[in-house]
Amino acid sequence: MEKRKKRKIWAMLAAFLLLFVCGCGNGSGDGSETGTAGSNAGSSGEEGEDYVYAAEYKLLNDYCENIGSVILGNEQDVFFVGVKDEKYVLFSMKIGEDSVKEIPFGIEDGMQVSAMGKDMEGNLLFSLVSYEGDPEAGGALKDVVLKKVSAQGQELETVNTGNTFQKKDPFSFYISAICQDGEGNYYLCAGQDIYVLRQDGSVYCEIPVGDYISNMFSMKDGKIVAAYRGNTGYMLDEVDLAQKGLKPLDTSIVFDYGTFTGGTDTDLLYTQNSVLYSCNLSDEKPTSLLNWIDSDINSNYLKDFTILPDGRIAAVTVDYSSSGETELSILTKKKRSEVPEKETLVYSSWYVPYYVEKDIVAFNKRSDKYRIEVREYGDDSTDMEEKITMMNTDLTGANPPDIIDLSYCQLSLEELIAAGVVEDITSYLEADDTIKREDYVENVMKAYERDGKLYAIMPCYGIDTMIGRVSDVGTGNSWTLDDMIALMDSKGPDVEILQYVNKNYMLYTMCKANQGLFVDEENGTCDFSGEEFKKILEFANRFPAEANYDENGPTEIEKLRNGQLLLLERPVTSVSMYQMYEYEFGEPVNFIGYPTFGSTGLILEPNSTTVAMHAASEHKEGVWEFIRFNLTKDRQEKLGTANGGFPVLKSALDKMLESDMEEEYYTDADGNKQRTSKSTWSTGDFTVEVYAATQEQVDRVREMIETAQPDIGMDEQIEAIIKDEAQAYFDGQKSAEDVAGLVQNRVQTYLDETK
Amino acid sequence: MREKKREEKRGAKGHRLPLRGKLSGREGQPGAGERGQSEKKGGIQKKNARSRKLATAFLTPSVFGVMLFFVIPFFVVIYYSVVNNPVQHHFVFLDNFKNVFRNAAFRQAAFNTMKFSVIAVPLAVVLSLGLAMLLDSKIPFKSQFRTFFLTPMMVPIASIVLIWQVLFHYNGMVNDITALFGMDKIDWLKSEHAQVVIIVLFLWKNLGYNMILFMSALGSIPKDILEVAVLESARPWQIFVHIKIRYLSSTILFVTIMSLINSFKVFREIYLLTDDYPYNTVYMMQHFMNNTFGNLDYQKLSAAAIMMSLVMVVIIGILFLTENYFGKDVEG
Repeated sequence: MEKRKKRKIWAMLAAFLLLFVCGCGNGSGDGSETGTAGSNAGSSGEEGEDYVYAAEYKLLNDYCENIGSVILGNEQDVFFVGVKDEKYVLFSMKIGEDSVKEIPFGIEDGMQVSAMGKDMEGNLLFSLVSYEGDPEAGGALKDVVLKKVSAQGQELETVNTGNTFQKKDPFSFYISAICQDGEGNYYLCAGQDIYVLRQDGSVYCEIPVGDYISNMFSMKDGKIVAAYRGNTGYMLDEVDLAQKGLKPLDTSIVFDYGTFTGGTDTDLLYTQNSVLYSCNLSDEKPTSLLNWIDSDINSNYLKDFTILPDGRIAAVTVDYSSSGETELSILTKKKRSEVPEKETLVYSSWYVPYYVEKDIVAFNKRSDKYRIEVREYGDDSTDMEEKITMMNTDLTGANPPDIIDLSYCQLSLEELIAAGVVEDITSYLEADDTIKREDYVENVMKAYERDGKLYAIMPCYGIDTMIGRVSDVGTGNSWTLDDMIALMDSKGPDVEILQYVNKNYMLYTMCKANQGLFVDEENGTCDFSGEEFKKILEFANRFPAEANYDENGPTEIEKLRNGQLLLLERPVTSVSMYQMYEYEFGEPVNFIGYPTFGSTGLILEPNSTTVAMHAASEHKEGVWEFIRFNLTKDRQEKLGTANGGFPVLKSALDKMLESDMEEEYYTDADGNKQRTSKSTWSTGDFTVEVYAATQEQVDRVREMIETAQPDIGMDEQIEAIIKDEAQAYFDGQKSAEDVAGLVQNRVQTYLDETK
Repeated sequence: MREKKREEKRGAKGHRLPLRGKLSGREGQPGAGERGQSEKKGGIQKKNARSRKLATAFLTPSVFGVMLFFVIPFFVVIYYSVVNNPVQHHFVFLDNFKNVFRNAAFRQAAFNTMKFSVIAVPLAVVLSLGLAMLLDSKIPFKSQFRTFFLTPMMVPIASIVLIWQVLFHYNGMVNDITALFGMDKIDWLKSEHAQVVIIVLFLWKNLGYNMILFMSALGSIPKDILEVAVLESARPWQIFVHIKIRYLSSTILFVTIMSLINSFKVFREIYLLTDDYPYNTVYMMQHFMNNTFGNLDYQKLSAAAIMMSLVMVVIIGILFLTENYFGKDVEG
């Protein structure tokens, strides 16, 4: 009996020890990767089941043009306002049906729909505005009318706001959302302010939020909530009519930038970092329902979404970056086996930028053979170092991704090559029938070429440069640090050479632009002992330790025009941006680049999905398909819109530059053709109307593109060493020579190690 | 004296055999005795088999853990050291070792680590032995001194580093003091003097622990031998060399090995004081390994680790041989 007891105790002890050992390090299954695949979408309560949200799409532009407003109704329907036969028409469509119904909603000629919403009963709310003349040409606001219409088109209420909003500038005042509470008060969201109007049109209160309101919506219980980025983070505040202000929602959930709406079963339904969440305010944490990317929906384009009574999810998206395509998507939960099978390519990154999401969604929709799934490391609560470690471990681990985002990879291309992680794509490029290297801008193609091997191609890019008056910087194509120092010396002490820069920033910028002078990466040597580095230290020391912001001081354009500011350091991603900078200076300018001892100081900066192929990928053909997808003519001609950058395809670049030179016209009230601006730039009090570019401007932009050099990027370790050692010089503790000696010693150790 | 002890040992062993015979003849009858003996034997074998099973059950988790966390990773490291990179896995035999050996940073790190160990380890052994001897003699405030030397063991590493920064920073206390004597400021942590600072830190941190080990070993030296030596007019120096050192040999070996291991671990302090890439005189082997790991250069890291482990095996082997030579005639 005693023996049996002992045996039992021993057996239990042994089992405990075994479990203890087995338990060691078994903490990886805690969902540290988020949004990995369709399989994880909506996994709550159904762990282990492999399912996806399969989407059906319906393009609403098939029924009308210029869809400006769209909203999902309460009765499984969608409402949208578009232009048909040159008139605004309100359409309704039952989800699952193909036909639309036109609903009269009493919009008068000359009025536009600025916002559409719905009340608790599902009636539609409209804010209709009219302008004095062309609003794009600066026409002021004339009238604002609010309307409430039933889902069947019966006009329930019309509210005239009188002179409340008259004469408002359409650039600073724009009604983006309309809601109504249970007492019949209307809430209008306009920029940084919320206006609460009674049913008779009088203003109950005006609530200045102080920050741009990105979302205003009514929750399930009818509370009106505003979402904005406040001083302490992203805020969701309830409108408090009693206090005529805002008060934070009573919840422990932390929100970040996203798209919010009231839920059907829960208080809130919202999208954050491409994931759809549902929550009640009393919940400790939200429930993740799905990742939009897995259903080929770009979360950045989401306009409205809801959960239908049968569990399907409806969403409407508007693609503002291209032709304004408005799409209704119905997502149905299905077993993975029921969905047509595709080869899965894994894209990994610790951050998924909006343009990557856009490209992945477009590729997944287009490709019958491949589908890209996103492996994003960590979430908002994960420390950056941890995210990077997770990604780096994955790159060399047993389960590597197929696609590596070079823009969001902590390791440099050189380090990735040394670790054998990236594949040379030259053979894929040469074997391709349609993508021919000679059709693409050569220096851009070479940006990711090392030792004759090509590792990536940037489909879209901008140019980083310094801009100065011709009278200051001359007409040359490059300049040196000595030229810059001479310019600074020639001006008075109250003249700024660059705005809001400090010592460390100037040190970094100058070292980066001239790093070839100090570091010979090929031979693994460095030389910081020369006069140039000391000169940079001395130059950087002339700037303040901390940038001084003067809120009440003159604006940038005032400083530029009265000679208080000499240079701008900016990216150029479109011809219209180039024109805007010219206008800012008010006299001829030269985009001269960064001071360098080389031939050009213009830097190419990727501005789109720039990916490399993992050497161990089992789907290399698929990865090339994705790379080439972004290089195709169709994509290239769409990539560079809305100042997003220049396309790498020569024909697309030519087309873009030609289009920049074409004048645009509108017909005025008298029927006369009038020249109109192609784009408008506005910051603070400064507004620039940009018209068609001249041949000279376009030629200069083309010259900049063709002469710009790839951004080799300052090695982070070298940058850290320089910054660390330079501080003693800036503090007056050590001489420039001593600092140069220490930098030389430490950087040489670093270079020796990487050889 | 040595021969006598061996004889005593043999004698003790010789007594055990008749005792076993006595046990087997307890039954009184020859047949019953054999049966009883075989039954007993079978019972013992059964018990042994059960014990083995039980031991195996208890040992399995540990063996599994050792295999998982030590043995398998060791072979993984060997594997990585002979392939071109962790992705392509092309066999390159000794190329990684050649690359590492040619690498200037590796050579610098190996030289610095060796230099540091060669200076710091003997100092740590000799000084702690000296302190132990001092505290073993009749001096006042022995207890207070012991506490004083053990204090660094209780201070968290982050605080130690902070103290060292306050002392040896360019604007630190040491430079303030030297300035009183008209000396120029020295950048202690970013100059040729950096290793001196680290050696002082290492000694400060480790002397107390080593000292306690030596004090314990000194206390276990048989008093009668020391008294006999004194009676036979042996000088203190002779007692120290011919008796104490011989009895301390295994402790000296242990302290040396521990100090050697700790000297390799001084990277932690250096890293906290000076970052990834310090002044080249304090760039150690673990800097090289940590940095190559961060850069995903596993093949270089693995080759360097194997080379370092081989050197460690040789050094520890030499230490064992030395201990065996000096301490073979002394009961440990």
